[in-house]
Amino acid sequence: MQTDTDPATTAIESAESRRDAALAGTRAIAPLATGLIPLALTVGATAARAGLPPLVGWASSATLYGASGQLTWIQMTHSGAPAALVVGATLLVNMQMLLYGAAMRRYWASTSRRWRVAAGFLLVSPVFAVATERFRTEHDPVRRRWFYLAAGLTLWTTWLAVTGIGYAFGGLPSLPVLATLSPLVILSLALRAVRDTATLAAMVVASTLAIVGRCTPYDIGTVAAGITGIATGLVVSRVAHTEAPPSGNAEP
Amino acid sequence: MSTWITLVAASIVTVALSAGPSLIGTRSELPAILRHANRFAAPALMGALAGRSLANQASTTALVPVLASVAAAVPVALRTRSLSLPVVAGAAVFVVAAAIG
Repeated sequence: MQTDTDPATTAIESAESRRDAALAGTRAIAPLATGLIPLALTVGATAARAGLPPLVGWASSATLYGASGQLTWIQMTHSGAPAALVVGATLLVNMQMLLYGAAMRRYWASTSRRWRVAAGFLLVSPVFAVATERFRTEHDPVRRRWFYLAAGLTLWTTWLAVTGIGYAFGGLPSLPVLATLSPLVILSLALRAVRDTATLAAMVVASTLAIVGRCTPYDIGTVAAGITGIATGLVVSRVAHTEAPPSGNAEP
Repeated sequence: MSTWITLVAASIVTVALSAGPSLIGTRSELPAILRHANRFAAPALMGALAGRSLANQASTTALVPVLASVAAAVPVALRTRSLSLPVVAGAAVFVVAAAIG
């Protein structure tokens, strides 16, 4: 049996399919992007008030995409930490990207290296969340790519625009409550990562040590506190694991 | 200039983390210790930054409003898992505590 396929019709259907996938990506990320507006405003304002050279703080929204890494970089740079320490702390706080990247590689296996770098750049927690959810039911690689690209670019442009607004307002006269917003956002990010006793222990030990060692030169105390917190989490997790019977729960 | 350099370096490192696994290959697994330690990187590092910046804030303004704002933000964060609500709660309590104090 022979089937007639009109190339023009196929091209139109293909374009519509890609457009639908892109629209689905934008729709999927929109609620998450909206929810991030207060955070983006605060990050922008923090960048403006950190005393960095003009526009560097806002440029960090474009290149160092992601609230945790960006705030870490801003705070460490603001405190005058050496370059290696700033980059090292940003690396540590962004370690979760390694897991996201590892989880996404099976979806990116058939793509070009250029695509993988671009997709990696757009990979942040909300994009990872909507993409992995979508990819469970979407098996067409082209539609997957358009979905991912639309979701990633929507969030990135929203982040860039809203942090820009925050950056513009950050230069307004100083109020103590505005200066408190940034530490509260960082605290919220830390508490959001607390899932069990081990992660709570990691956070409590790290924050306590950072307070004690906040006068150390070059902000070494903060990084040392973070590393000690990670070690504490590992130890507590190991102790809890050896004491408790295996539950069979897989880590997300 | 050095600020731009650290920004570019930190950006490259971040993209390397997210794109690296797919560029290296699709078969190799991350070392177990790295996967395990990764769970604690965000709470530990962000906790350290939060502790330091809150302590700095307390030393430049006043201790009680900062402590009160943290006391308000922590339960809201743990209960709602939201990023915005703890900030709103903490800021509101900070304003009230600063006004009273």
